[in-house]
Parts: sequence; C-alpha cells; structure tokens
Amino acid sequence: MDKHAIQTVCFGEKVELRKHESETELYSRLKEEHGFGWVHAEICPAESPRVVIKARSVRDWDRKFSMLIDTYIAESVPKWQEAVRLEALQKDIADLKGRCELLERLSPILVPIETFAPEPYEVIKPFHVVVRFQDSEYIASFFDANLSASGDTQMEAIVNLKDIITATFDILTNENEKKLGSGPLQQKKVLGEFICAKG
Amino acid sequence: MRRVEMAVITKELAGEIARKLKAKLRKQSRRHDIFAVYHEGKMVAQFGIRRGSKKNLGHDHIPEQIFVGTRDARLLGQCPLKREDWVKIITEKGKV
Repeated sequence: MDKHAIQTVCFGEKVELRKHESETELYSRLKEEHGFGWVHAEICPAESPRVVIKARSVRDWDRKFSMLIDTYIAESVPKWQEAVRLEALQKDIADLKGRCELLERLSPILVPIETFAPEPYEVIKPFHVVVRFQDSEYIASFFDANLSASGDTQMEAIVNLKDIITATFDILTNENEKKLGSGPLQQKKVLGEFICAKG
Repeated sequence: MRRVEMAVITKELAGEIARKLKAKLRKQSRRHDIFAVYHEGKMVAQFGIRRGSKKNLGHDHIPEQIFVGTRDARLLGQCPLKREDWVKIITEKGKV
C-alpha cells in the first residue's frame, strides 16, 4: 500500500489517495468510486502528496436523510406542540386577565356619602351613591335624587357628584316649588331629607 | 387588547344639548356649570356640564338628568331630535 494513502474504513470501505491528486480530483474520484451519494473526506494538508486521513461515504443517503428527518421530527414536534400550547395558554391568560379587569371596572360599587366637607353643607343622614363604569368614564349616581356626574376616575366621579348635589340643592332651595316640574320637585324633597346648609 | 372607548356624550355635545333645550345657566359651582331647562315657566330638568378645556370630556351622566336614553340625548345634540320632541318624551314620562 502506498505510504501516502492511509486507508480509512468507513461503512466497511477503503479509500486510497493517489499521488499528485488534487483535492478536487480526490473528491470527484471518491464520489465516483462510492457511487451516488455524499462523500465526506478530510485531507491532511501537511503531507505532500496529500493524505486522506478520514473518509466516509454515504451511499444510502436518502434512507439516512429520512432517518435524520424522522429523528428531527420526533424530537422537534413535541417541542413545537408544547410551544404552541404555551402560546395558546398565554393568550388565554391575557384574554382572561383583560376580561377580569373589564368586569372589575364594569361592576358598580356602592359608596357611602357621610360628609360634604369642606363645602358648607351637612349630611343629615348618610346615603349611598352608585359608581359604575360606562364607555370610557365613571358615572356616580344618587338615584333617589336622579343626580349623576361623570369623572375620569371613581374618585373624580364622586367628587363631581358631590359638587352637583350641593349646587342642585342650592338652586332648588331658592326656587319656588310651584315653579318646579315633577323631576326637580322630587329632587328638592329627596335632597332636603339628606343634606342641609351649615349655619 | 384594550378597546379604545370614548364617551358617547362629550362636553361639546353636552353644550349642544343645553343650547338645543334652551337651558339657562343657573349656577357655576367649583366643577360644573349647572344648567336648568324650563318649560311653560317651570323648571323641568337640570344638569351640570363639567369645567375643563377638553372638548371630549365625558358627560354620559346627562341622559339620566334629562330623562332620556343615551341614544335620544345624542340625537338631541346632533339635531334630529327637536326640543318639542324631548318635551313630548318627558311629558309622557310624567316629568313635566
């Protein structure tokens, strides 16, 4: 055997390097000798003529490629499925979170009114107002008196309602009852039960 | 995903409603201009318009104050519904 040609056995086949054979020629020859398929060879650059130190042929590349794909699918598909499942779960959680937030905002709350300070009005008996979310704002309502006010926040809506209540109380107190329609008259009577001016 | 929402009755529309109902400014409180609506010499409704420079300031509380639904309140501000129509509605509801 030529000393420059190191035999490498791969899949039971021998590969020999010829003298003065270029790399390209070697690859071509290996491909020809080993039939249809992919030939992988590593050449030692220090030797002249070059020496094949490793070579292997892949004859049945289509079968091996299929096996490789099968292995890849077997390993990857569960990961993809898991990723898809996780993504779906994340989406569901975000959706539920949004719905919870919306429900929290949409749920009306009852707020007791016990003072009008610092305004010069007194609460004769505490009453409750309802604060609810509607469209993009909060609406606070004192339903008995048919008085409502809007606000960007719950707190603002309540403060605004207190302002409306005291202003309406002032207007109606100074108005002759004969000049009030049924709505304002009812408001006056209801407000008179719950608030009065200080002093 | 958050839906971008906007008040149905804006401050601008509330002003239109006040004008349409020929409401009179009765009082200026800290936070509102209080308007009263009169019919045949009687005050039949009153509502407050929030102070503030923003035209889209929410006033969705106004429909309740004038005894109509949001849709009618909007129509009132946007013209199709006339003052006479509104008076008819609240008369039927026994609010006059």
